[in-house]
Amino acid sequence: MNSSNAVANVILVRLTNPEEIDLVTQRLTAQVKNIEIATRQTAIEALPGYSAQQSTLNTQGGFTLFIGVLVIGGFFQIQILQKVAQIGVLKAIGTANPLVAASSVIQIVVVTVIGVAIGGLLAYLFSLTFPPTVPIVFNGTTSLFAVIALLLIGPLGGLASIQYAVRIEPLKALGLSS
Amino acid sequence: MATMTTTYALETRSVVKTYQTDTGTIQAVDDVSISVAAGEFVALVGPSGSGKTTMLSILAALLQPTSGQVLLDGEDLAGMGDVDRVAMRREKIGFTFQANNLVPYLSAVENVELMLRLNNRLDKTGKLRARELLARLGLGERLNNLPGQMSGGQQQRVAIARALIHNPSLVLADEPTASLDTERAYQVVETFAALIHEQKRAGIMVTHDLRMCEFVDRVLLMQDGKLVRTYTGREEIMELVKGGRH
Ligand SMILES: Nc1ncnc2c1ncn2[C@@H]1O[C@H](COP(=O)(O)OP(=O)(O)OP(=O)(O)O)[C@@H](O)[C@H]1O
Ligand SMILES: [Mg+2]
Repeated sequence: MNSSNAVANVILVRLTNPEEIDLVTQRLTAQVKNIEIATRQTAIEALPGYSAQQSTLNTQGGFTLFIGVLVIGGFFQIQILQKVAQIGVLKAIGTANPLVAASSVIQIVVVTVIGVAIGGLLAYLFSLTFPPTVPIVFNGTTSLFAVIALLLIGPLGGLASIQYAVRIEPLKALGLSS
Repeated sequence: MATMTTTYALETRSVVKTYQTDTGTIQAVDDVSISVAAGEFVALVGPSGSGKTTMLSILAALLQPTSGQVLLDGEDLAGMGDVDRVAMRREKIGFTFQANNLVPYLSAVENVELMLRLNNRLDKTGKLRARELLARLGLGERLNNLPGQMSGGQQQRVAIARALIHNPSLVLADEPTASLDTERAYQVVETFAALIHEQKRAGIMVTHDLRMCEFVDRVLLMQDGKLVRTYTGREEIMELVKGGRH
């Protein structure tokens, strides 16, 4: 190796038995001078800029979900606001609050599931059209995580509107109390 | 059931409702005691601001009186917790409102069935009865229409069917004819009165239109929150109807 002009050689070693990593590491360090052993994951993370970029992406992902909570919450809130009179009638004729709450939850869950299904399908179709140079991979785990997160933020964002629906006063909603 | 025995379906004792406002205390309902028997149809009339809507809301278990008792089949609505009052509204009270009566995405017959559904009593007989009742109210051809596809009078009649279908003890109607022309109004109130008499419900209707009192058994006149006069008997009521003033 030429010390005035450092060049790194990377050699990938695939182990037939991943359990033997310590043993292999010991052997390699004993036999080769000036060597560093790292797993592939550690090596990738050590690439300049990799971690920074990754954390930017993660932050973006997190923010997207957070904004999703707000947008979806706002969406359901508007939906409830449009139905105040209706819910008022239902309550006036004796619909119990738990039923109002349960109906709101079911509605939110159904709408969210349909939305996530459509969104997921579109995302998948888009990912097929990406050229290989686009550095995004949709693998099972991250996609599943995103889907679950999206399914959860529906009801989470809708919480406020559910509470609003339960609090609707039939008298006021019907315009009977001046 | 309470040990109290009462011959009236509905009985109120010294009902008072006060509102606190910036300008002071308002006695919206002031010491009103009324009794309505099963099968009796009563009109509640009075000038604007006399407390009719407030009184009706109290009878409908939608509003708690400041003091007094509201006995429906011997049970005091005023002394109940929220959950029980909601159950009373569902089981023992039928109510038509002036507007926004129906659920817009349910058909006429579904709106009526809704009342049975809420009571977990929607079976074959119930579905049949809902259809019969609507037919009786002249809506046999409109069963599957949405409220948006019906006239104001037709919607009002659907609401009346909904107020009666679950065999409530008390049926309340707030200005049921407000959005109708005179001829329609007569038809609606006449059928309403007939059903209340036949099915032996206690019926109360708030109205501005004294001509509608032609179909009731008693007229209660309110003024400044107080019950100031009661008209009973055909003659007295017809005099009021013809006079057109209260
Ligand atoms: N929520 C409220 N807060 C304060 N005052 C109220 C409230 N509701 C009603 N009032 C007052 O109580 C009185 C009776 O009102 P109510 O609506 O019962 O009259 P009404 O007989 O139905 O009148 P109208 O014929 O105009 O409908 C009025 O003076 C009204 O201003
Ligand atoms: Mg009123």
